[in-house]
Amino acid sequence: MWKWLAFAVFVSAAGAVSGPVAAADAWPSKPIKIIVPFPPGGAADLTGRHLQQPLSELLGQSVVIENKTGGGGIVGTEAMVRSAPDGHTIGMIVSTHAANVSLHQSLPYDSVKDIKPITVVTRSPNVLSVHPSEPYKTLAELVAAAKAKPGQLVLATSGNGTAQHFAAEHWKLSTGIDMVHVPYRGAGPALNDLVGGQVKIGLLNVASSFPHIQGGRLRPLAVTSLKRNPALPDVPTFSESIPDFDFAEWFALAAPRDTPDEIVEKIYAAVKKVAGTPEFAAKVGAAGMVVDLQTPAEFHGFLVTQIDKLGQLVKRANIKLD
Amino acid sequence: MRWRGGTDVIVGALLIAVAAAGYWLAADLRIGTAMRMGPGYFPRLVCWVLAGFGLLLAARGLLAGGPPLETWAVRPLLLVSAAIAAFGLLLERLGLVVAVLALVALSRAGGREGRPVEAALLAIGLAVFCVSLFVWLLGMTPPVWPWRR
Amino acid sequence: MEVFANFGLGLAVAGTAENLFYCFLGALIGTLVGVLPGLGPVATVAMLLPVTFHLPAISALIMLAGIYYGAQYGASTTAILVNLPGENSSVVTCLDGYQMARQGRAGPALAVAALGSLFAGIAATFFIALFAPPLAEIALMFGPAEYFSLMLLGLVAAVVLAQGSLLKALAMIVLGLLLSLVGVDVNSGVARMTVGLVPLNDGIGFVPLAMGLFAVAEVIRNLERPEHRLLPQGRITHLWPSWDDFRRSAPAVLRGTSLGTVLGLLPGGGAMLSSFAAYTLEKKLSREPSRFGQGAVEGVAAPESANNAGAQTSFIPLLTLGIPANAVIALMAGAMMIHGVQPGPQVMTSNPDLFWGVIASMLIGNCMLVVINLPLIGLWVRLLHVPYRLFYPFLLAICCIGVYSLNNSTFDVFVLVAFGALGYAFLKWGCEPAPLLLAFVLGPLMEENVRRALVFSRGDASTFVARPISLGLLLLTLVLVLAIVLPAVRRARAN
Repeated sequence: MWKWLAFAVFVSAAGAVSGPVAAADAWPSKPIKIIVPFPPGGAADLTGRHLQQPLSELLGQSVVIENKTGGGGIVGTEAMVRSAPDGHTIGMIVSTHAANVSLHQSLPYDSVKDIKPITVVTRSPNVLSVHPSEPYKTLAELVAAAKAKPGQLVLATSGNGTAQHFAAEHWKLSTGIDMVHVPYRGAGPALNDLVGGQVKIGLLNVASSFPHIQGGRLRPLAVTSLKRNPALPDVPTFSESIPDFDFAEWFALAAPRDTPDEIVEKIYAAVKKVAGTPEFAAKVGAAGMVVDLQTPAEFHGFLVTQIDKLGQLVKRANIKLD
Repeated sequence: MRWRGGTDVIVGALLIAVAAAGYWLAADLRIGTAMRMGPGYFPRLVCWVLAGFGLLLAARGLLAGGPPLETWAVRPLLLVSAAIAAFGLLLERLGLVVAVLALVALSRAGGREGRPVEAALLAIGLAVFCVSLFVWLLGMTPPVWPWRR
Repeated sequence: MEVFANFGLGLAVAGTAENLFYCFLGALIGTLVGVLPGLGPVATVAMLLPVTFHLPAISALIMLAGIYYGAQYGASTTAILVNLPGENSSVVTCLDGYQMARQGRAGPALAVAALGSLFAGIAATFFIALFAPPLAEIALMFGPAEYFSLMLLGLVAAVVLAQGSLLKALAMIVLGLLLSLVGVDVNSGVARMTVGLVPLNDGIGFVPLAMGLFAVAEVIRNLERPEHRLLPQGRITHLWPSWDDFRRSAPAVLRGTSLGTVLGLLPGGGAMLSSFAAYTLEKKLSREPSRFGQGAVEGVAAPESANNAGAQTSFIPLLTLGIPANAVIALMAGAMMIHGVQPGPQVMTSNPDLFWGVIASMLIGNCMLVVINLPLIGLWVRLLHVPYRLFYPFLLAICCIGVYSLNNSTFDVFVLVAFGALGYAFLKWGCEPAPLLLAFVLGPLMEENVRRALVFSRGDASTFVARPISLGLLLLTLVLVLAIVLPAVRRARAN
């Protein structure tokens, strides 16, 4: 048997001539891999896939997407931080990356120190909506109703520890209302119950809620972004009554910690060029996302603030994954 | 091994052991009440029921006698398991080609056919097939060779 | 007669040379990839999704739908030939399909599966074309209480899957429930019984679990004795179904199609229940239930047609509500978004060519599937003549890569090892894996929904009987329990 193994190693060693060694100054010298820690077809994957083609045309190297899923994004991000820091393996990290710090007792990496931020690429905003059979026409009416019946109203989100969940908890804390939070396995199942009237209030992303809002099956009350959503110009923002209320899912690129700065700058410049086009904005816009580019330094600051903000919220709202 | 209890006693005892382990793993989880279940409610319930069935099965085996134990073929069990495990260990470290070669070598050792030349050809053929199908045609991105990761 | 006009539009869209080509290509590639052990529809569609990016939206969806049916049929082929369920709905096909193959009747099993699927596909497509919008409302009537009752019914039905000891089958169901609880609990977000392994947060994977228990265990058992062919007898009695096979299958196909059509409409678990439900129904209706598990042709015909009917109607919640019913359909939703079409109720009015084109392509795709697969049956059956010593390393290698490709993570490969060994132990102990697998799939949905239903009703358990659909399902469960228990009691009294 050992003979077999030795044979196996020999064959594979003899099977090909060794490839050229990547030199740092010649980036990109081989195909670039983007590790997406979520499954194909989701928002993170869409952002990556829309970057793929134009990036590879711009850089003259093929760009491949690897969906390394599991553990709410932790598995894929761990693989990314452990990759060779030569700019040929980068990863997508999303808003849950900032939440994981406070939600998990231990992570296999340091969420800030072990990554080199490149840029945020897209954001996906959220909207609070109610079933049209409910009497509430405005956010204030809903808050008043919740105050009159503490602990009686039920609010659906797309899951524990999601941007939607955090937005809901922040809203509850800021207004002092008590509502029962019911998490779902993503926006799809939650919408099924919300549109069907099984649950009356839901905080979900704009992309999946929008068709139902248009069709009159949901009544939107407020969006979670600082500015009003261009698709829903008549819907007020939470921040109009609660200062600085801003909760969106974001989708960003990052590299392993020791990736040289000049390569990060090159990647950022390339992504900026590609994602800055109207075509890219239109493509991600179809999935309800908006382009939101940040420089590596800005993204670093943003990530640190996000981790801090969500960490405080977890403590104040006593969100514990009990 | 021919004794009255047979497999039913073994299976029953193992189920009780699994239930106990599950109960222990779920011990930290909040139980809640039947009307407001916590994350620990369902696991504990399932463990109790599992232990109950284990007990019934073992009792039935002891009282009524169960089917006798069959002998296990240890060699294929260990070597097939080792072959798959080797694939898992080698794939991301030494690449797809080495992983497939090791898998074929170990799993062929699990059978009793010998024929080393045929096995070697099979291993190489399979490696070529897997690389061309999964990497070139289907665009999978595992490491292929031990170098150039 | 608007329906005919719409359907005509659909046929015009799907019938262009270009789209016919992509439909054919999808069905062909889907079949060829799906027939590889370990690559079920989810893995196949996920892998081939990027291929369709460059196509126009309608062609891409038509091709993906073709890949989906092809992969599903391919998964049934491996279930029949090598006892390898590539997805949850082909678990029951393994039970009698593999036995038929062992008896040298792989050809009839494959042909019945193909023809049953064709009938189911056509019937379900017409059903969709006629009733799509009202059908969508059915999905909305199902809240957590209804889902809990449906899952309970499915769990009781799992007992019927068992052939041997009732007590062992019950124990396997509970063991399946326990395994399904590993991972992050949706309701509270807490990781349960993961022993600190991060990849287990998403739970134990269905594919490595099922392939370990069925395929790897079977390989180990086959290596016990020096056997030179996949086929124990080394002979094939006939390639095509006999008149008797047709006579037995026809009613099973009809019942399977109806069950699958209805259950496929329910997002979250409906489609996967359909094949189990169809098998259970046939076994309960049969005058000789003892034939099931021994190679009964109805045991292949019913679940396969239910499976395919469910696959068609599971598009309804996506196309009419924008709600993906299962993992494959979620990938389709992703594909729609990549092409700039937001799935939702507006698709029917804003993109009628896409909506009706996809529906019409279901009809065309199902016909192509049969055209592709009937000639292939001879080839697949001949594969069974390959010496086993050459075949099983191939099987194991493709299984391993297939499992790895699900998450691009080697963790699942180790899960495969563990459940392969456990599956071998189960074979030795006379424990059947099928009830375990069904409970494993239903368990999380059942717990999630019972807890959610009780939150909605503020802790009032009467919600399950107060809601008519839930009550109906519970009564059906009761009838099934009686149908299982009474013969056992009668037998005990006769002794």
